Order: sequence, then C-alpha cells, then structure tokens
Amino acid sequence: MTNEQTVVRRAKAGDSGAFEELVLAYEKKIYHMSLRYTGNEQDALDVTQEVFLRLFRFFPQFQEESRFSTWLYRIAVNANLDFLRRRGGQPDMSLDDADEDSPVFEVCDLRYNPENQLERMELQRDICEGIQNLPPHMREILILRDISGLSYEEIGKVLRLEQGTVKSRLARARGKLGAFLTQRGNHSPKHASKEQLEVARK
Amino acid sequence: MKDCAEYIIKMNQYLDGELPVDELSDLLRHLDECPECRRHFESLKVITFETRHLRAETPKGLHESIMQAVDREKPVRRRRVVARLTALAACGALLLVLSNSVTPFLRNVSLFGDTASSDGAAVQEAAAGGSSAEPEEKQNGLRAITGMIAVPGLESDDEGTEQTQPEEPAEGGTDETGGQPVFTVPKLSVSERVAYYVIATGSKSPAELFPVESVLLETELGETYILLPGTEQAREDACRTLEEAGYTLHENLENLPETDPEAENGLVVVFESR
Repeated sequence: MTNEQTVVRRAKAGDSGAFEELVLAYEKKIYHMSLRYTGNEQDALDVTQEVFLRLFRFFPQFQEESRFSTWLYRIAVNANLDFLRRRGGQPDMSLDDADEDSPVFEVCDLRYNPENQLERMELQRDICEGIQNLPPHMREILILRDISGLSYEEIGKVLRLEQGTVKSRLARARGKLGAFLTQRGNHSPKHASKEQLEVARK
Repeated sequence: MKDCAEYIIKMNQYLDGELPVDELSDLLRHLDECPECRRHFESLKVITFETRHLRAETPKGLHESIMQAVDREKPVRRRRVVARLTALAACGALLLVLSNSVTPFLRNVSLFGDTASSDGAAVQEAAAGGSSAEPEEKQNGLRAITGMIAVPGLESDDEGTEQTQPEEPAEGGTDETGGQPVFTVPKLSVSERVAYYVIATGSKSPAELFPVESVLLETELGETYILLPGTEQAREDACRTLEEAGYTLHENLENLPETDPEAENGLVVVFESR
C-alpha cells in the first residue's frame, strides 16, 4: 500500500489530519486547473473550495477500486463544469463544437520567438483565452493533459473515455486552440525546417 | 488529408510521450515529406510548451480558506444526514422512542433480558407516559414507550427539515405490534430503511470509537447514534469495535424496523448505562 493510500484510508475514516494532508497535496493542482477552466482567480478559488467540500462530503462513498487522484480529478472536472453552467453562457468567441467523427483537423501555424518575452507573454495570454473558448469537452481534456499533466490512461479514467477518443479529442482540442491563436494574429509564414525536425528526432 | 489526420494524432501522442516507439520513425518520415504537417507540428510544439508553462500564482490563504470551508461543512453534513432520517415521521417504521423522562432511568437498569429490576418498573411507568402499560411488557427488557419527544440539544436543521413536534406514534404503532414493545428514537423516525441495526450498552459514549463524521447524534442523556456504511463488513467491524471496547451488544430485539440489505447505511445505537 502506498503512503497516499494509507493517508486516504485514514482521511476516509474521518481523520482530519489525514484529510488536510490530502488538501495540501492537491490544492495547488486543483486551483491551477480551476483557474484555466474559469479564467479568473476569485472563481478558481471558489471552485477549489467547492472541490474539497465535495471531497469531504463524498469521501465515505470513495471506493478504492480507482486511484484517489482519478476520483478527485473527476470531482474537480464536475465542480468546474457545474460552476460554468451556473455562471451561464459560453464566452462570445466560443469555438464551435467539433464533430467527434470528423476527420478534419485544423492546422495551425504560429509565429513564435522564444527569446521575445513580450511575444511569449502575449501568446500565453491568448492561450489562456483560447482554452476558455474551447468547447467544454475539449477544454477539459486539454486542461487535464497540459495543466494537470495526466496521462492518456488517467484522462480516460477521469472522463470515462476510450483511449482512442482521448487521443483524437486532444488532437482536435489543440488544433482548435491553434486556430484560435492564428486568428488572434499569432501567425507567421515561418515554417519548420528539416533541421528543426532533427531536434525533434533526438 | 485522412492520412495527415492520423499523423496529427500521432504527433500529439509524440508530444505527450504517448507514441509507441515503433511508430516514431513512420511519423518522422511523414513529417519529412509533408510541409503542412511539419508546420502544424511546429505550432503544436509551441502550444503544448507554452500551455505547460503557464504559471498560476496560488493565492495567499488558499489552504486556510479550504480548511475553513470544510470545518464549516462538518456540522452541516451531520444535520443533513439527520434530515434524511427524520422525514416522514408517520411511516410507522420507528426505531426507538426514549422520552426525556425515561432515559435517566435507563442508565440505572438492565435494559435487556428478564432481569427487570424495580428501576425497570420505573422505566415502565415513565415509559408509559400516562398511558396504560400492559403488565407483560415488564418481561421485555427495553420497555414499550409511546410518544415521541424531541431530544434537547439536537440542532435544528437549517436546510428545510421541519421540526418534529411531540406527537403520537404512528398510527397503529403499539397496537399493530400486538402489545410488543415498540422501540423508537426521539426525532429519528426512520424514513428509509437501513441495512442493519446494532444496539449496544456501555458505560461511556462510544463516539470516539467511530469516525467523527459517522456520529449522527449524541444526546445529553447518553444515547449515541452512529451511521455507518450499510455493508456487512461495516456491521461486523462495528460489532467487533464495540465488543473490544467493552460494550454489550444486544441481539434479541423485537420490533425493530425492517432492514434492507441494499440500504446505503446501517445504524448503531448505544445507550450509556451509567
């Protein structure tokens, strides 16, 4: 049994010290995730609180068939979606929900100079906005992968998706995000050279 | 484009460290040959890199605000469970009724078996609450009690649960059972079945033996109600815990409400026999 499993069992049995250990271990991750969902700090704070309240309420129902983190991320995804639903309406520039079966991927083409800090900041700001403009099911998968760092397998468990769906949906989500960034002016005729590919190869 | 679509998935897998090794050379060959996919790949690298490097400064007081919210939740959760169990008082499936006036006597008597003492008689009288009590009830340990009286100190539920006023037992309560003892709990008329009941007596509160969140109610009069998962394992664990701590378990109880093995919770009731 891992150390976390021990702590989880204690917390589930009502040990408040163990519960707090879990809060400490996950609060920053859940906050960051919620920040990318909601787009502002106050809402992210509120949702993070809500996630841990739900954890506290539902702990007796936690079955150890799944990993604790998987279960917690599922709670977090639901809490964020509920929050967005309550807040109502998607942002004006919401990108259309892509047809899951569509073979079309949007090809993006970004301008990027890693040495120009101003450009990077601008791009990061646009990425944040772009994430919030993604359709919910694309937003959540992108956040789970690139913000929370979950593997495809973990994402599949959290969102209850087949691996094939995880792969294709994530690819579409990044394509959409890229298209958004391109629309925002982050475009350039600069193309990747074969030399750059050599770097990827290494 | 169909082929490119497949390669777009593969390049995403590659950037996520999820591309099987034996598919890498095929992807790189395609990128060599397809300028459009190459551009897309370069953009994807930028997007994933920058997304993964988005920083989020954790607000001061995040941890404290979470823990405070959880602390505020604790009594609420307990009230919520009480609320669930207190609805539908008239369903007739009452557990135990112990009036305020009766309970102090219970502390001094043997609650079960045929060893009713004079205190037992006092229980009987008090339990009757002015109504006529059948003599044969004395043979039963825990006495038939009619009427439901609110327990002092029980928090009122602020989530819409109506206060249960003192009222007559459910229609046909005692009569329906043919004079058998009817056991109910103040304000805990069980509106939904539980998987099991564990009834025990002991000289002190058993609250510390169970997770704090499972302790539904402790009355000033020495009754403790503990709500546990409805599994057989939870029941066995509770029995073992109580026995090991010196509590006496009582199994030959009559007229407990029906149980439902599929129910979510089981209920432990412990009386302090000080």
